[in-house]
Amino acid sequence: MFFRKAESPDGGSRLTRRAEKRLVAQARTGDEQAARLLVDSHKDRLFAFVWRILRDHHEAEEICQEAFLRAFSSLESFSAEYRFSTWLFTIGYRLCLNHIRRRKSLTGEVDFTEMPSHEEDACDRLAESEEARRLKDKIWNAVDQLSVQQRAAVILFYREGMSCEAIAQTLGIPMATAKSHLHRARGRLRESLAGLFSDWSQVEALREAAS
Amino acid sequence: MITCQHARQLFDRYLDGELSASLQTELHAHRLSCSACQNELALVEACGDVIAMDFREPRVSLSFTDRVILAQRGRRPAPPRRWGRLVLYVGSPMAAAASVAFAVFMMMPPAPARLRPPEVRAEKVAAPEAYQFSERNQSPEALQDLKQTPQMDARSFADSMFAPFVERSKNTLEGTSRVVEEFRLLMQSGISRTNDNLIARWRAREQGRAASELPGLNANPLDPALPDPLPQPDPAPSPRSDEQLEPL
Repeated sequence: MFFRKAESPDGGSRLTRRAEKRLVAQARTGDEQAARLLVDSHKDRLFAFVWRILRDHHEAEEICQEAFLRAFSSLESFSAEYRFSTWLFTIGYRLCLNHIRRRKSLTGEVDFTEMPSHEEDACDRLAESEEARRLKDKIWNAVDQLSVQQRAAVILFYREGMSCEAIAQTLGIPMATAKSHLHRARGRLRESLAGLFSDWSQVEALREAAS
Repeated sequence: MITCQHARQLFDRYLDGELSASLQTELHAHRLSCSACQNELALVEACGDVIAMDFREPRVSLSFTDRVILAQRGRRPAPPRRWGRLVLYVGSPMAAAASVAFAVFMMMPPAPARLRPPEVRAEKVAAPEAYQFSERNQSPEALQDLKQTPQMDARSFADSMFAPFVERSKNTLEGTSRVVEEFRLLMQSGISRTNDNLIARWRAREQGRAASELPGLNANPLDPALPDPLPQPDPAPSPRSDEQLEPL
């Protein structure tokens, strides 16, 4: 299987399409409990996506909250043929782009390489080897070097398991452009990580540690 | 067997899951025999694994859901007030039109019937020489008539020509000023009448207060102990019905 269908970080399962439709229909009538369930089932994935783009906890939470509010306020225009998550990620991505533009206008160019390294969970650090953690950090640093569009395409493809068509739909770009972002991102990752692994066994060890 | 260059061209389609089964087999075979391509592909796959499985991002706050729900309550749009909007959309232009109509009515001069017609008596005068027609085209009678008509200078002729219009404009202005004056008098009379009413009411209240302070005036007028202030005249005896009706 080539599409990486990731589990949610807390190990919980994602909503089925039917359950999602039912919850959206209930939330449309003003059912707060349904809205709460929708938030609970999507917040971690959306937050991870937004945080990977912005690399700021507070800003990522604000963007996520705004994305949920906008999604709920325009539920009337939501078409049931799409997934709620796709719609939510689209709103979140556009809010991220707006935020980055605003940030650029306030502070000049944004250099993601100078941003602080991502926060790490102490439990995870203890659970895995020092070497695997170091390699993962290098990979994430290489991901951070990508452009916003390339990073979003890579995260949606690998983390969310989206197809190129769904990525194009989420990012609001043609499918050829989405593929181009994804392929260029892979090429840049290959270039920047070329000397990272001295032999095949290291790569295998990393894949085992990651999975 | 495919070459390394060809295999690298297939990497992206393979990773996207869009490679045909036969090409997949070719690529796998090449991968087993070429360590460089194997490492390169494994590196990209390892990146994908890390991105997909490494959940070391910070977690969203525990109160996040509550905050979203609370914020949504605050942003929930109010139910549409259709009648209010209808009144607003229809009433505003109507009110504006009524205001304009009232202003035009107030500024309008009085009806033409109330205006005196301009008393301009046309005098039989001839135009100055500059305005006269050539004598060659005139009949002898017309030339004779023209010679007997007194001549006017150009200014007097223009005055006489424009006199009706000037008179009408004066009447219009007079009519407008008359309407304004009438409105002013009406307002004044209304205000003075209101003042008179207020003064009369105040006096009546003062008199009532002064009278209430006098003894005996608070007594019940229906009390039988009180003497009758005015003796009532005896009613005249009503005629009997048999006296009133004379037999025929």
